[in-house]
Amino acid sequence: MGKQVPLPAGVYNLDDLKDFGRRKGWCPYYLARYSILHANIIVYSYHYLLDPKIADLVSKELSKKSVVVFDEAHNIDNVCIDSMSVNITRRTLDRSQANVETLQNTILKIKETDAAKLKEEYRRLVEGLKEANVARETDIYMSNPVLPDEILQEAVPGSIRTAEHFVGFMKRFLEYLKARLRIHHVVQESAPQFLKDIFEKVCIDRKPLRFCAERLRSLLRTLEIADIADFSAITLISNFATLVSTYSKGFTIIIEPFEDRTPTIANPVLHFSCMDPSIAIKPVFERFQSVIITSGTLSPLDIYPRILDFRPVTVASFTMTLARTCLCPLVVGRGNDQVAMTSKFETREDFAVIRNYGNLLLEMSAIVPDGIVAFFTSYTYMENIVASWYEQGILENVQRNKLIFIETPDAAETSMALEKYQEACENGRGAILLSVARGKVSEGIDFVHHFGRAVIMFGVPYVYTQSRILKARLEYLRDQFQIRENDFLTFDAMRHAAQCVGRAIRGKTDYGLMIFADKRYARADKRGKLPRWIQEHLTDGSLNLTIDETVQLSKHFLRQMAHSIHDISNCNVQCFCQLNLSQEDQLGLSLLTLEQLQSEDMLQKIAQIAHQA
Amino acid sequence: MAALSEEVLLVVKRVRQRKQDGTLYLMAERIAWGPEGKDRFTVSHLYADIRCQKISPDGKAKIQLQLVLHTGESTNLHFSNESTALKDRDAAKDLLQQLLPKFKKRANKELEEKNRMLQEDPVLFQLYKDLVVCQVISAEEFWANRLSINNVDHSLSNNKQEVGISAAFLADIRPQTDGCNGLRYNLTSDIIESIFRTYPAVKQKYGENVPHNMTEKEFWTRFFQSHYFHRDRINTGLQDIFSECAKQDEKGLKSMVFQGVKNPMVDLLSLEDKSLDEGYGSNSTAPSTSNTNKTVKENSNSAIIKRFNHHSTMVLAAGSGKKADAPNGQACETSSTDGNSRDSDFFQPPIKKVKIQDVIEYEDLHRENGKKTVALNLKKSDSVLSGSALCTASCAIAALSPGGVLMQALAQQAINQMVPNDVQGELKHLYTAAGELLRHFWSCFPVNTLFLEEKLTGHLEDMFQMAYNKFHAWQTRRMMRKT
Repeated sequence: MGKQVPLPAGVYNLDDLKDFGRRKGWCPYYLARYSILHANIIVYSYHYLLDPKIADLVSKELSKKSVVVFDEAHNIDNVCIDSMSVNITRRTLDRSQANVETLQNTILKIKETDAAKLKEEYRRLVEGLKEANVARETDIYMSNPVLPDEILQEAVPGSIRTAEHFVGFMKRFLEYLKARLRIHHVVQESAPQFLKDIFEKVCIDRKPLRFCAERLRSLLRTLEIADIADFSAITLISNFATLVSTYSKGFTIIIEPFEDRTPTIANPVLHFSCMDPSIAIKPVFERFQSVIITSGTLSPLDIYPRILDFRPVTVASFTMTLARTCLCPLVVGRGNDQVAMTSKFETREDFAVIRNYGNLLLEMSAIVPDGIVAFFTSYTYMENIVASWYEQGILENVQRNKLIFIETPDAAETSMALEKYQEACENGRGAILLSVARGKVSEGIDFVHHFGRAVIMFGVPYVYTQSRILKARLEYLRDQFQIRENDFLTFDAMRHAAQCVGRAIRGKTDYGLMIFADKRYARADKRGKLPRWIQEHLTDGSLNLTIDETVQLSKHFLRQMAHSIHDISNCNVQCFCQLNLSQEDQLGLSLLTLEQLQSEDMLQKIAQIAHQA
Repeated sequence: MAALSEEVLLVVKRVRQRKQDGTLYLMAERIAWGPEGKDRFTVSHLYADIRCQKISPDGKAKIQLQLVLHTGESTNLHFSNESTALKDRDAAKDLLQQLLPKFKKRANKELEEKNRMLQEDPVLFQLYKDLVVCQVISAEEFWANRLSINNVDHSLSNNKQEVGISAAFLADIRPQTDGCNGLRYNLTSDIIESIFRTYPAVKQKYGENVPHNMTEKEFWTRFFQSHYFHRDRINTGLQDIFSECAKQDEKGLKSMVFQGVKNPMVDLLSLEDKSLDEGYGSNSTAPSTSNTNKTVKENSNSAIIKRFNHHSTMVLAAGSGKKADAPNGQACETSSTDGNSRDSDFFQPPIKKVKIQDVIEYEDLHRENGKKTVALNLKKSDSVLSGSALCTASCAIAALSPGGVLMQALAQQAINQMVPNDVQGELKHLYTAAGELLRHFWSCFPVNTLFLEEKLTGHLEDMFQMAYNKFHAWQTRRMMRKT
């Protein structure tokens, strides 16, 4: 209609937008996409920028001068990898088969009614993807890693130019994949190996494969298929074809005939796994003038430029400014019986270790007010420990102090447990939430104030190292970036540990204990990988403690924190009121007035100092 | 005989009291005992006066019943008829059990209420001692003023907060071996109450089966043997009457899960960021959680976890006084009213908004009471930026902030630290007593009845005099002690 109507103030979230759309009769989805082009600040999930499939729709028209800030970027490498990886199962192939048949029928139908349309498409393909090329060269759009530069200069190869030929080509490709999935042992190969094999077996060349994604898109457009979601399977296959033929490095193909846990049930999966996060993020670095990567748990800093393959202009690590030392990290290394506490694989099933972990929880449940959150390294480990705690009667004793809620693999069940946990904290009963690092709770839920007065991290949350995909990635990191396996694993474990314990402190009025229950945390290589704001408060006196010492230190800390900052002196009754940090208490003393700060020569001086530093 | 007009509910002969044989009468309003051969009662208690009854444990040689009165006194009755002693005692006990609760409600509420108020409020108690016990004002006057408060309190005390359930009540039932391959569980009525409140399904079973199908003892024996009690076992036996309870629990849990959560901030389902399509991502094939490929051990482990969640939820629900809405399928009804259901788009936004608002708001960032700051007039602003001055300044600020070196010395020496505690306490008593008198005084205005006038001119004046004397006495005493 061409009319421009400003989006009213107050429409800030999805519900508001839905409401607004309902009132105006506009589609909130397209409204949101349209307003992206006019917005000053856009806040959205990483995927909208990093995932080429989405970025192409949403973000490619963002201006070059935009400033991109990746906040909470500690996991950015995984997001990059996820967005470029593909898994193909039997089900995917079956659905693709159905898709191809639908395409074939539609083509036949269209040929009878509107053959001109297909001819027009053919003509366009001969001319090549000029449009896209022009757009990219003139820098209007952000580049798409799935759409490699070379293919933009070439015309779509003749073998897949007509619609029927393309459908036939896809059929052949599908048959080949099906054959590959009919195996009984694990296969791991590189992309060139895969291409060689496919050429030998079914005579599919590299070149047409590279055009697959673009060719399919064009076909779907020509056939005017409205419901693209139905064709997600064939789209996935075509994306895979393009990726596998475009990148000879940075990807690996693993075909597993069954899951490791269930070797009797055939469930073949083809993992096309990206190992190089820099591929997905490269267009962002290339396109935008300033890219800022930031997080509270981005540590150690130097590993990120290496794994994302960029040269940082400025690197800085800041401490936290606190009104008081409201966090208390403690490393518990031993039980009262001096048995080392660790989740190391060899000793994790050890009776004494489990008992000591239980005692730690029990002791803490007696002294920490309101909520305690405990994280385990994995779900199975938690299950085992909970079972043996139950047998040993530890949980019964914990229940005397607090209610116990436990995360389950089911999200709905966990949500309910979480809500009840908060309810129990709210009404003063106090509760313990047993949860899993890398789980849904550790990533998404904050435990502010009394919802988490203590976080206990049982063990070091190493990733499951037996997975083949991880092994391949570690190998790649070692060969390409000279990052040792152990360094990367520790780095990964520590960022998750920091994520977990960081759940407790979500503001300056908050306070909480952070208990690392594993003697390995005391080692320099682990300790040094914790974020600076935690390291600062981790003194030598708080390392390798026994449970008793931990309890003493915790008691002291909690008592101090429970005091109000104001000393209410004319009240005879001792007042343990809620911490009251009013504005005047926190205002610092400025040495400059606002006018002075804004004056011309002062700004110059500041710029000078910044340059020197 | 005085009792003739009364209805006699039960007569038990051969009951000894203070080593004297006699007869026990349970009448409509009181319990009485008369020695043999005499025509009067030497013991007679109104039911209303009795706080509770106690009985001697089974198996004791002496079969006794003890009546404890509100006053704290007690009366022991010894049933001495060899053949029927136990039956007699139980008959009396049962009847009393029915009667006592009826009279309890009729007991002297006012006195109890006053008593309770004095016990719960130490300040009031002190005031009472200062004013009534020292005869400054009479007890009626003292209470007359509090009557209104009393009434308000009354309604509060009626729905006094219910005591919650200990989460570990099951752990408190410690089984003891009886030496011959058996276990003894000791159950108290508290524990049974806890079990019933936490597990309504068990209560229902109890109602269904006791006493028609089995005795109470048998019921609890089965309970402790059941898979239900032992959470790590997976119930398979169908003959177990509690297997149904487990199923009901499961159902309850499911319906609660289905209902979803009210707080959108903890709803993991909605938090889940599914921006990756199916088939993309590095580990989209999540490990299957179907039961088929799980070992028995794993199954039992996850059963424990589920039951812990359920147990805690039920304890919480029982404690917060809410009807545990899980098992009876009424759960579905609530969902439509409280805006809790997933599809009711119209209820959700406000809750969500409020929650989000709650999270993002910081109290201290509000501007209203921002103090006017004084601009620092720097002579040499260059030196500030050069660093040295900045350093000293920040040191000074650090020393002056709470916890800094300078602030420790400056900590205010408040008056409450200079005056000893006992003096403070006494002064406070005098102060509250005087305040109470003043309250009496001012409540007389406007003087529109003869009674008020009399009160004002008459004894209120005396009261003030008395209070003043008291204060004066205290003052001189303190002075004396000081010198």
